[in-house]
Amino acid sequence: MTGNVIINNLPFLMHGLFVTLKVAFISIILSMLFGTVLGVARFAKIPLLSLVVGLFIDITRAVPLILYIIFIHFSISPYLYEHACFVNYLGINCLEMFSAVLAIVIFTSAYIAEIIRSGLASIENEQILAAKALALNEYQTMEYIILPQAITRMKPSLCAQFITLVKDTSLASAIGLIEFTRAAEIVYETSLHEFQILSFVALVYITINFLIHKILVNS
Amino acid sequence: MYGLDFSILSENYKTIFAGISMTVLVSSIASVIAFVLGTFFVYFRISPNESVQKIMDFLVSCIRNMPLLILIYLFYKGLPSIGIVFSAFVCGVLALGIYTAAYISDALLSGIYAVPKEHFQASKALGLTRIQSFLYIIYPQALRHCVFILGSQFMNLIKNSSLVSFIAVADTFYVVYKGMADSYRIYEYFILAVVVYGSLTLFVLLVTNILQKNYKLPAAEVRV
Repeated sequence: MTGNVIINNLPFLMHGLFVTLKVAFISIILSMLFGTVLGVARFAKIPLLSLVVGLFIDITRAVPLILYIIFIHFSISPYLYEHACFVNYLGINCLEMFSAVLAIVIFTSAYIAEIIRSGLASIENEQILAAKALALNEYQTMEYIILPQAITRMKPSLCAQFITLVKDTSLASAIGLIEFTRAAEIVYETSLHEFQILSFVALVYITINFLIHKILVNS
Repeated sequence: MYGLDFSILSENYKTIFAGISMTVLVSSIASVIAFVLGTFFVYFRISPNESVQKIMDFLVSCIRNMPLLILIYLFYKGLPSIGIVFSAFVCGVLALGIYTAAYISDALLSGIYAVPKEHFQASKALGLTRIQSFLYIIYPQALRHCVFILGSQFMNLIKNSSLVSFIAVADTFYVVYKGMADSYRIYEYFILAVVVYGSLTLFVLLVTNILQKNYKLPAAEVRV
C-alpha cells in the first residue's frame, strides 16, 4: 500500500531528483570557479580589491542562504534572466532554477573562497623560501610546491561544502522550483503518506551524499 | 529610480521585534538541546563497545547528510501521520537541536582526540568509573580544545533557525518574507535581515573569541 505510493509516483519524483542533481552540478562547477577567484583575490592582499572581497565574503557568510534565494528571486533575477540568454546553454530552463543557481553560487563561493584562502595560507613560509633557494620562479613555486599541498589540505573541507550544497538545493523549494523536496511535497499533499515519502526522500539524500563523500575522499 | 525608504520598518516595528525575539528564543533553546544531545552522542561514540560506536557513527552521519528542511518536515508532517503530534514551535526547535547535535558531537569528538591518551588510563587507575572519567577528566578538556568549532556550529544554528519559518513559526525570516511579499519593499527588508542575522552571529563570534582567549588549552605535544 505505502510502497505503491512511492512506486506510482516514481517518475515524478525522479524528475525532481534530476532537477536537484542538475542544480547541484551546475552550482558546484560555477561556485568552484568563482570561489577560487574570490579566495585568491582575498589571499593576494591587493589593496582595495582584497578589502571589498573580504567584506563581501564576511557579509555573505553571516546571512542564511534562504534569505539570499528569496531576495535574488524577488529583486535582480527576473531582469537578469531576461537579458542573459546564455544560461539556456547551461540547461537552466526556468526563472526559478536561475534564481536558485544564482543564489547558491553566490552563497557557496563565499564559503569556498574561505576554504581556498585558508588552504593557501596553511602552507608555511619556509617552503616558499626553500623554493626560492632552489631557484624556482613564482609560477613554478605555485605549481609544484604550494598547490599540491594546499589541495590535499583543502579536500576534506571542499567535500563537506559540496555535501552542504546538495542539501541546500532543497531550499529552492521555497520559490517553487520543482526539485526533489518540492516534488515529494506535492506527492504527499495528494496522497497523505507523509512519513513514508519523507523517509524515502531522506534516504535518497543520504545515499547521494554518501556517494559524493566516497567518490571525493577516495579520489 | 528606486529610493530606499526605511519608514516601512518603523511602521511595523512590533512584528519585526516579535520576529527577532522568536529567532533568539528558538536558537537559544535549540542550542541547549543541541549541546546536551551532542554530549550524549559523543559519549556513546567513544564507548568501548564497538557496535554501539558503529551505530552512533552511522546515526550521526545520517543526520549530517540529510537536509535540515527534510528533518523539520519529518517532525512536523511525518510524525502526525503515525500518531505523534507536536506544535510547530516544538517541532522546529527539536529538529534544529537534533540536526546541530550531530555537528556538535563531531566537534566534541575532535576535541576528545586532542586529549592525551594517558588521561584515560590515569583516570582508570584512580578508580573512576567511565561516566566519572568522562565528565570530570575528559569532557572539560575536550570542550576547551574545540571552542572555535563549537562557536561556528552555534553560528550555523542561528542561520539555520531561519528554516523554522517553513512550518509557520514567526521568526525573523518569516517576518521579512511576509514584509517583502506584502509591501514589495525588498531591499529594506533584506538589509534588515542582514543586520539582524549579522549582529546575532557577530555576538556569538565575540563570545567565542573571549572564551577562546581565556580557556583555550595549548595543543598537546605531538609524539611520534
